[in-house]
Amino acid sequence: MTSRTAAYRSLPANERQEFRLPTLLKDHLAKAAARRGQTVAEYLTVAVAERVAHDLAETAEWHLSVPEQELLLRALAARTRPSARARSAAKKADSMFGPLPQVPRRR
Amino acid sequence: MSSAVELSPVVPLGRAHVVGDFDSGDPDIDAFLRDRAATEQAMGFSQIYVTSDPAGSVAGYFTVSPVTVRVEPALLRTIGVGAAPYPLIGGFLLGRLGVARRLHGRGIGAALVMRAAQITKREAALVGGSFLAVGPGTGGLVAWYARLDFVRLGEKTRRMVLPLRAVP
Repeated sequence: MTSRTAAYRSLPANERQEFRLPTLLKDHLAKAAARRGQTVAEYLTVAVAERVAHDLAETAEWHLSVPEQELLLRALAARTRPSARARSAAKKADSMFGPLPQVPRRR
Repeated sequence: MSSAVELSPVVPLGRAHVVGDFDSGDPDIDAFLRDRAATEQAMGFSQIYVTSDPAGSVAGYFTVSPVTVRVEPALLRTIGVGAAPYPLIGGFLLGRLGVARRLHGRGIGAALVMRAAQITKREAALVGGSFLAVGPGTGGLVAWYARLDFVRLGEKTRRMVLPLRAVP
């Protein structure tokens, strides 16, 4: 069980989910859960948590079309200066929240 | 606009922060902070940063998480990075942003975006990363982010990026 799966399972099981599945799959599900010494609910929760954690991690990659990729690369390559509005918002951030703490660097 | 409000530094969400009464006017943004933010942060899906009022109530927050973009190697060559060992570009995603409704109209949202950009620029100096990305939900927000130097990746998408090198 991954740490993310464990985190899901540490939460209270306070929701219900109803769905239909083939009779054969339901029978095999019960057998598989019994072989692990788990209830069907426990077995399904672990399986779903693992799949959900994996799929959410996948979304950390943006899939862009080729024209979108090109716009991204051109934006990153451009040597643009911050606009007056961006500089003003940054000054406001300093004034509202204080200066940004710097991370100590290795010497 | 009413009088100035005292806000805390922007820090990671912690147990001492009061999130239950946060009301940004957007139920999804509020429910995330109230019900899921602490858990998602603990699971490492995203980092939640907040600023709070003197009573500890959250006045605004944003989430950031790593994101990568896969690019065609041929495109990399067009900008002179043809020797990149793998065609992935890393950055950060500004996933959610909310400001308490009672504090709207004071420029706190724009200041939070800039603070998010400054934090990710600082972290990028240590771990890499070249942009802060957003996926605004409305056309109005696209225009709002554009005024803060975010570049839209085409007319058919709302995805936008702010190159970290352009962050003040």
